[in-house]
Order: sequence, then C-alpha cells, then structure tokens
Amino acid sequence: MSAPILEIDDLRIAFASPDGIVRAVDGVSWQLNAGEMLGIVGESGCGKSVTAMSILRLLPGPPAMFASGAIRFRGEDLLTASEARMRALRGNAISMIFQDPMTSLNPVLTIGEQIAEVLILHQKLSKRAAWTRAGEMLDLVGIPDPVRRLADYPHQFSGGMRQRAMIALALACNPAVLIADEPTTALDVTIQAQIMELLARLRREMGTAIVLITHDLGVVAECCDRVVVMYAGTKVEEARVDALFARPSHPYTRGLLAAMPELDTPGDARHRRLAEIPGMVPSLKQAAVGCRFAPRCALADERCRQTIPALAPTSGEHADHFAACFRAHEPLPGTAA
Amino acid sequence: MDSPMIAALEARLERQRRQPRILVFARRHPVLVAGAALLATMVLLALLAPWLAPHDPTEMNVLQRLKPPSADYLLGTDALGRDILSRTLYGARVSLLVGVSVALFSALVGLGIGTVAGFNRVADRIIMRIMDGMMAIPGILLAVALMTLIRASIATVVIAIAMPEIPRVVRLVRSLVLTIREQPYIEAARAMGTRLPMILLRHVIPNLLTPLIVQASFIWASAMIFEAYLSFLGAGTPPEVPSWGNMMAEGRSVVQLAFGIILYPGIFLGLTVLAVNLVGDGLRDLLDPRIGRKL
Amino acid sequence: MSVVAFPRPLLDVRDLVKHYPTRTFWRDSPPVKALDGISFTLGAGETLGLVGESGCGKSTAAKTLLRLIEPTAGQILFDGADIATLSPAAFRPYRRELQIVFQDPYASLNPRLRAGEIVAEPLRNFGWDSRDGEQRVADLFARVGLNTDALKKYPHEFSGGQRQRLGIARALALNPRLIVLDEPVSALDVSIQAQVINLLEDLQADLGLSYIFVAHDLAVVRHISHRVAVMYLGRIVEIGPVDSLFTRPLHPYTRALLSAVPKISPAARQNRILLKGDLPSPAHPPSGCTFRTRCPQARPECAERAPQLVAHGNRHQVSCHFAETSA
Repeated sequence: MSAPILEIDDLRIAFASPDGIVRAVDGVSWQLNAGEMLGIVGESGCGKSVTAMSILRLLPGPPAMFASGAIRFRGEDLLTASEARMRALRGNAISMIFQDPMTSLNPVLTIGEQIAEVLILHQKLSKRAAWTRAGEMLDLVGIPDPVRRLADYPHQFSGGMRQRAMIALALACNPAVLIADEPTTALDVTIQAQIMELLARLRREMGTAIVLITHDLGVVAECCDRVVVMYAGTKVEEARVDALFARPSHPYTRGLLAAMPELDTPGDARHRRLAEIPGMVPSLKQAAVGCRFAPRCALADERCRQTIPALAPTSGEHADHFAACFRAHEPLPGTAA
Repeated sequence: MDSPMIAALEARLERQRRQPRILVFARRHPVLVAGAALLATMVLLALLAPWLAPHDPTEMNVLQRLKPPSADYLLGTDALGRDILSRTLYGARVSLLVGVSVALFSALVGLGIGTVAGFNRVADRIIMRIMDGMMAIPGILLAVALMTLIRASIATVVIAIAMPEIPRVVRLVRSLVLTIREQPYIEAARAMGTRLPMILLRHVIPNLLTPLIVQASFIWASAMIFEAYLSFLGAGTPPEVPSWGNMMAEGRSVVQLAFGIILYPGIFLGLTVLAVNLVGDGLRDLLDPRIGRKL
Repeated sequence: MSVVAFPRPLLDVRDLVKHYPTRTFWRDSPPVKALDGISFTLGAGETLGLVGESGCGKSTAAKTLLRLIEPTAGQILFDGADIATLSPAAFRPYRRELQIVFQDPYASLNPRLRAGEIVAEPLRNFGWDSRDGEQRVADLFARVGLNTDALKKYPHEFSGGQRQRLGIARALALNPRLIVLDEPVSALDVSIQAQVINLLEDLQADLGLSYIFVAHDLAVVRHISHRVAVMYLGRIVEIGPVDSLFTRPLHPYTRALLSAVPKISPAARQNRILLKGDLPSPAHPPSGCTFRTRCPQARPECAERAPQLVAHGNRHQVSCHFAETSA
C-alpha cells in the first residue's frame, strides 16, 4: 500500500479554561489512504469533531487551545505549517463540510458567486470559466436546473439542497481529502440517504478520500471502508467496517451496538430492554490514570483502572483490527456471547 | 499520564490557583476591575464629602472671589468666593445620585412597559407607537420642555432625563421578551399549568435582567452627562445645588479669569462617566457566555 | 370497530386541523396546513409512535393535543370529553392529566431555576403545600434516577441525559395519564438514549401511562411503540400496530422511509428507495395525494383524487390508492 494521504500522529489537543485543562484529544493516531472513506465515530465530547477541525486548523490558537503531535498531509505537517500555506490548502487540497450548511455558505452571496470565488482563488480560472465550472458542480451534486440555480441565494435552497450546494463548493477544486463533519445529522432520513449516495458516487468518480465524522453507526456501516471508534478523547478501536461490526472488540463499541434499538428486530424481541452503558462520559479535566472507559465498563478490573491500555491487534482473523482494551475478547456479563 | 504540553499547562493553571483570587480575576477582567476601582473612588469621595471638604460648598466669601489655588483653597474659588474643591466633591453626590436614579427609574419603568408590550399584542401596538413618538423628539428638547413645566428639583431632573431613555429601554425589554417567550422553557411552563403572571415573574424577567443591567449602566453614564447639559442650559438642578453642571455653567462667564471652575468639575465628570462605562463594558463581557474565558 | 386490547380509548382525536394563516405584504396567501385533518385513538397504557420527516406536522400534532398550539378545527376527546374547544380556564384542570417532555432538555429548563424548583413548579401551580411538595419532588428525583443532591443544582450543571430525567420528573409530578414525548431522546447520545428509553418503559409499566412518542428515529419508535402513525405533509398516511407496519409497510412513503434508514447488518439492507426531491411546501400541497410528487409509483389518478385512510387487515390503515397492488 502506498503512503497514506493524511496521517494523524499522536495528536493531542487541550483547551485551557480557568476551571481546568480539557484534554479534548488525548493521543490519537490514524491514517487515511487515497480514495478511502474513513469513519470516525463516537458520542458527543469524544473529540471527533475537534480532531476534524484541527486538520484544517480551524480551532482557536493559544492561549485558548494547544495542540501537539503531527497532522501530515502528503508528508507535510499541517500543525506547524504557515497560515498562508493553510489558506492555500483549505478548500483546495483539503475541504470540509459541516452539519449546518448555513455556517459555510455566505447568505449575501449567490451560490454561483461562492463556488466561482473558490475556483478563481485556487485554480486561477477566469470569471467565465469559473462560472461554467460552478454550473457543472451543481449538476454533479444533483441540483436540478443547475445553471439557473447558480443565481440563487442560500436561503432559496431547501435543507437538502443546501447540503448539496455545500458539497459542490467543497469539491469544486477537486480536493484530495474531504472532511465531512456530521454532514447528515440535521437532515431527514430520506434526504440523508440522498446525500450519502451522493458522497459515495463522488468518491467513486473523483477519487476523493473522505473522513466521515458521525455518531451514527448505521451510516458508518453502510458507507465507510474503515472505522475509528473514539471515546473521551482516545481511540478505543479501529478496524475495517465489516470486521468491526462482525466482531466488535472494545467493551465500549460492544456497549454502543447493544444500546441501539434495531429497526429489524422481530416482534418478540421488541420488548427486550436496551442494554445501557451505565454512568456518563468522564470529565476530561483530569489526566487519565487507567482506561477512560473503566468507570462504565462491566469488565473493568484493577489493572484497567491503573494502567492505560495500549492499542493492540485483536486476535481475530483480521490483522488490521485494533482495540485499546486488556479484556477485549472476554464476553460482557449479562449478554449472550 | 500527560504529555509535556499538558503538563506545562497544568503547572501554569496550578500557579494561577495559588495566586489570590482577586488578582486572577483582575487579570481576566481588567476593564471591569479598573472601572469598578475608579467608580468606587468616586462614590467614596461623594459619600465622604462632608468630612473631606475643607469648606461648606455653599459658603460665599466676597473677599475671596476667583482666587487661584492656594493652601486654604486647594483648587481656588469661584465668582462668589465658594471653594471649588468642596463644591466639586459635593457635586459628585448630585451627579452620582442623578445617574443612579435615572438608571433605576428608566430600567424599572421600561421593564414594566416592555414586558407588557412583549406579551400583549394590542398593548404592544399602542405602546410602541407612543414610544416611536417619544423617540422622534430629541431627548434634550423633551427634557428642557419638561423642566420648564415643573419646578426644578433633583427629582424632576431625574424624571426629565429618564423620559427620553425610557423608549430605548422599552424596545430592549420588548425584544428580549419576544425572544424569551419563544424559549421551550416558557412552553414547558405553560404545559405545567403556570399562569401568566408567574411565567413573567419566574421565567421571563429573571432571564432578561442581565442585558437590562448592562443597559442600565450605560444609561447611568449618559444620565450624568445629560444632567450637566441641562444645568449648563439652565434647565437642570436648581442653581443653589452644587452640581458639576451648575459649576460649569457658572464658570462659563469667567472662564478667562478662572479656568479651574470649569476644568475640575469637567475632569471629575469625565472620569466618573468613564468609570461607569468601563463597568458596563466589563459587566457585558463578564456576563456574556459567548465570550470565551481564557486561562 | 371493537378493539380488544384497549377497550376504551383514553384519547380520541378526530379530524384535527391546524392552519396557519400567512399574509405577505401585499396579499393573503393560502394558509400553511400544518395539520390537515388527523384522526387517531390511544388506549390507556398504550404508546403511539408519531413518525415522519421535519415539517410533516408531528410536533404540531403533539403540541396541539396539549393546547400549547390552538387547533383550528377538530375534536380531541380525552376520556370522553372534548378538550379542543374548552376555554383556557376550563382546560386548566386537564394540564394535570396531559403532560409533555420536550426534545431539547436544556432549552426546556429555565437556566435560572434550581432543579428542585423546576420539578416543584407544576405542584405549586396546582396548590400543593410546600412540605408535601418537597417530599413529592424527592420521590420524583428518586423515581427518575437522580440523586437528591441534584435538587440544588442548576440545569447547566447536569449532563444531557440527567436533564432529560429532570424533564421527565417534571412531567410526572402531577400524576398525568398521558405524556406526550416530543423527540425525547433525539438530542441524546446512543448510550444515554438507552437509559432514558428504559426509564420511560419502566414508568409506563409501573404507572400505566399512555405515551404519544414523537420521533424521527424509526428504530427507537419501533422499540417503544405499540402502534405507529406515519405522517406526511400534515396527514397520517399510514397507521397500524408496530410489527404489522414495520414488517408489511403498505404506503410507498413508509417503505421509502424504512429503506432509507442506514442499517448495521448487511443482511438487513434492502434495496434503497431513493425519493426524488424535497418535501413540498405545506402552503401549496400537491393536488390529490400529497405524496405523489415524490412517489415512485405515482399514476395520473393520484393527482385527481386524494386517498382516504382505508383498513388493510387488523387495525392497519393506509391512505394510498394502490396500497394493495404495490405491496
């Protein structure tokens, strides 16, 4: 396999506030290969969005936020790159789409002006060429009557259409990496299905590598190649999608899957109680002593509370399946293996 | 196990925690602390005026008219031979009292009217048209007109200055009420069977006090300037009261002979207004959750 | 129609309508038909799931039941009495019987009140004296799994799941018979969501509560509901017992909705029915069947006649001209 296009290496991000230092991301590493769709899942506060924002350096700098480690894009460290270099990369080689399209669309400019602006800035296209290309982008993302819609303002688009327009904007310069931060969370399921279908198609056609940040395990299962599960600022499990869902190893991953009601449960099983993960996410203001999940884990023992488990290959048939757990293979009490 | 970066941050936070809390607070909110300190000084001077003032502020001494600063009269005397320092100190009482009273009065009246306007459509239309009408009259004209109609006293000055401020407060309160009444917790209160007066008292008003207090502090500052205006125009505090505005008005005719009569009250007025505005700005930042707190 | 399991409906909603008049600067526009005549019943101890996409009117329906939104027309029979047209004063006693839990557990709690005061508010409103009230609040905290030291805390000091427990405790305070749950878990993380769903199920079993469960998450609705109503553009397009509706969806919209849900197990994935376009404006709904503009099976007659809810099997009703043929 060739070198990864994007590589996060021991990334640590801390937010400083008078009440304490929040270790939002606490030593996370992963790689994204060319043309791949990598899912990053976890619940609110697990650090997935902070990781995503840090790639394009969209977070506040010191004295509010501090980062260490490395974010390498084609071998170049983005954490130490100049601001001018970052401006050249943003929206060009690396693009990002957000949960709320209105945050990245300017309400006083037409959709066409916004797409054309990016093209003129990064690709040095002429105004006319940029406008033509903008029309092609709207067509590509499936907006009907694209040339006419170029003259529309964002508020004239529906929610799903806005998301499409934002994707068109993000992909206008044919980026190597697209970071999608909860792109469908605000959308209804039928629109979500349309958008995920669109992302999958664009990946096929343009070869864009995608990092999909989401809390929805179902979306990950359907769309991604590999998945990273995060909990409380750390990576607890990483695997190919089929392996992760066939054989989830970390108790947190297993707990999450068991806590989800299934759409296709047969009638008699409907009244089973959902498996709860007791308690709640720990405060990240204290340094981790043992496993961050130990206080909520049914398997946790003294070792888990004293030592931080390292990421290790699970003993499955998949060599690229890792979990950060001492007791990854043991069955959870109270559940059938 | 923390990385060196976080360890360094923790160490810094720990150092801060060991410092006196007031020092940490002052470093985080320098504007508020500076304003509060300056304001406290002014309030103290005003309160202690009877003890600090070397002379009775109304005591005239025809032999000592328009004297330059001397050991007996530290800031000199005015055209009637009154001690400028004593009058300036007593003037702080008037200025601060008028400022605070105007702020309180307009905030309370505005709160009442604005809340009604925000919750009742019919009342809203009537009230807002009246407020629009009041806003169309220049504040100074409205105040001067009021002052000519009623006998001058500190209370009437307060009312005259507060009148033009009220429509602005009403607008602020009304727009806050309109936002708050759409909050889910108001809907929740209705679902719980809470009656309207209780909804206003428990749910609406407490949630609009913060911006109202900030607004009131700015009214306080502008009211003190307004009071000086009115006195300067001869439509303000009764002339026998030693207010900064009156002093400056009296000093106008003798400005070439004794510049200090205008200068010292002017400096005090400027400093007090600055202090109140700093406190207002500081409060706004302190109470605004959107402005992130830095280490 | 005789119903075996729930002999006497606690709630019987008939032709409930909510229209919002819209007026632009220069002319009157047609009203927004947020609810365009919905009817359903709910038995004691039963959970009815109300699903649909944003703008379908499910939340409007829920809030109209509690008169948080005034209905334009129709009847709401609660225990036999029509509460839709009562004056606010005459409706007030029913506030004890019908309660609501909101979607956003933070926004629905007054940030300036302590948790204990929040839960005590409905008790105060209905004349509990403060000593009994305090005991009741403590009991309620225990019931929803909150510590008593939480009584003195402010909403921002709680986590999302705890805030929703607080919202549930407040809804339970007056011993209601019906609780409207308006997307109660959609703002919560999966692991917390399971805790809250289990709590709601326990409360229903212990207290015999009836629930109207409004949600867009179909898996959650399937888990918790006895019956489910699918809404589209202010109308119920399909309603029926949960298993029947989920295993044998009859309306093309229900089928599209179910197929669009991302599924973890590859075996569960069906052919996805991708709907074209977006929801039409509720101010200008399409003629005939309102779904026809996005329906993969629309035929010319769908534009002419609006379909009515018709029974297909045991308590399963669907509003589609071609429900039989396309199933």
